[in-house]
Amino acid sequence: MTTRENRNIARPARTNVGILHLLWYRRIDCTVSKQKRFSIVLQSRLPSRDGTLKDDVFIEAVRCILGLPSHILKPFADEHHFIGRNATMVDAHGSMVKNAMLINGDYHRMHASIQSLIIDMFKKANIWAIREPQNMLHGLVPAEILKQYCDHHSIQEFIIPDIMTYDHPHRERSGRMVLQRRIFEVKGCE
Amino acid sequence: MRIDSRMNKYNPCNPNRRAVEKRVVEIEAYYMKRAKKLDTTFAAGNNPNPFLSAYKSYGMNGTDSLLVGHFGEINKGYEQLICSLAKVAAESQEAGNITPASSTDHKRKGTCALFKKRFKVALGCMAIRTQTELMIRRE
Repeated sequence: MTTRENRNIARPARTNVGILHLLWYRRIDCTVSKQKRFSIVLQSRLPSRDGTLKDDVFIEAVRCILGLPSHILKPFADEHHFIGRNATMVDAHGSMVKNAMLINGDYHRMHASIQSLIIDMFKKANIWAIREPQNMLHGLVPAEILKQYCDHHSIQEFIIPDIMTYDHPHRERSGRMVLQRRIFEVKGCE
Repeated sequence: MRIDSRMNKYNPCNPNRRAVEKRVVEIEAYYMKRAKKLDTTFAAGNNPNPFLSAYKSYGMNGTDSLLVGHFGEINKGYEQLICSLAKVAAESQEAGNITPASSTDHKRKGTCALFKKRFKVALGCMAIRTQTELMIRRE
């Protein structure tokens, strides 16, 4: 830690309690790098829209941020418990539990939430966006080829992005603003 | 080390490279592969690569990947998107009467910074909460 940051930390002692509390959050911002700021946001802000979070969820979230073993998985992380179709061994930190493929699905856990959040961001910016469009290639591929593509029975071969927008503003190198067609693929990786 | 659903990947050449940045390359390659496969299936012998050229006409050179990691970390493209959306949102009429969300916001100048901060807060909280709830559900 640099001398300047030490000076910042010493300052709250001379202020009142309320400001000291807020400066503590600022100190976290100073000490962690820019790339990792997203992971501590839960500590400095309300965890949900209504400001409530269940006790067990909050405890697990904090333990996850701190890199500690999971509290609820402690009894199962004894190398004798397995989860999912591939019978993955339960680990203490819960990483394999989250990644396990269950028989009833539940793979796309973060995917839908991130999609909704990005759509909301686009709405806030007054940009039209559509979720999972199937007409991405219309108007760009010759009609006779596109007809074969649309008549094809296997939808697995289709290219369907998660989000598409036609009027996304983009600044060119010359400084001019142009509206771009863009597609986005959303992934939640663990 | 990145633990995937099917395999473990370890890259000793560049251990500082984050999991979200590694996944971006995979997604781009996957889209290119699918576009090329469509070209060989539907447009063999016709125009040169109509599906691939249509795919590349989007954005800079195809799809933009938006990745969120286990701790709410995001890739570079996502950060750029948040910045650009915050700028556009700050220019709208609705942003004219915006007030700071907390007492620490007064030092952040401008509406754009406030929007950016709100987007980041929403994203970080959502990622951690979703991951934790999933694990508790699977207990």
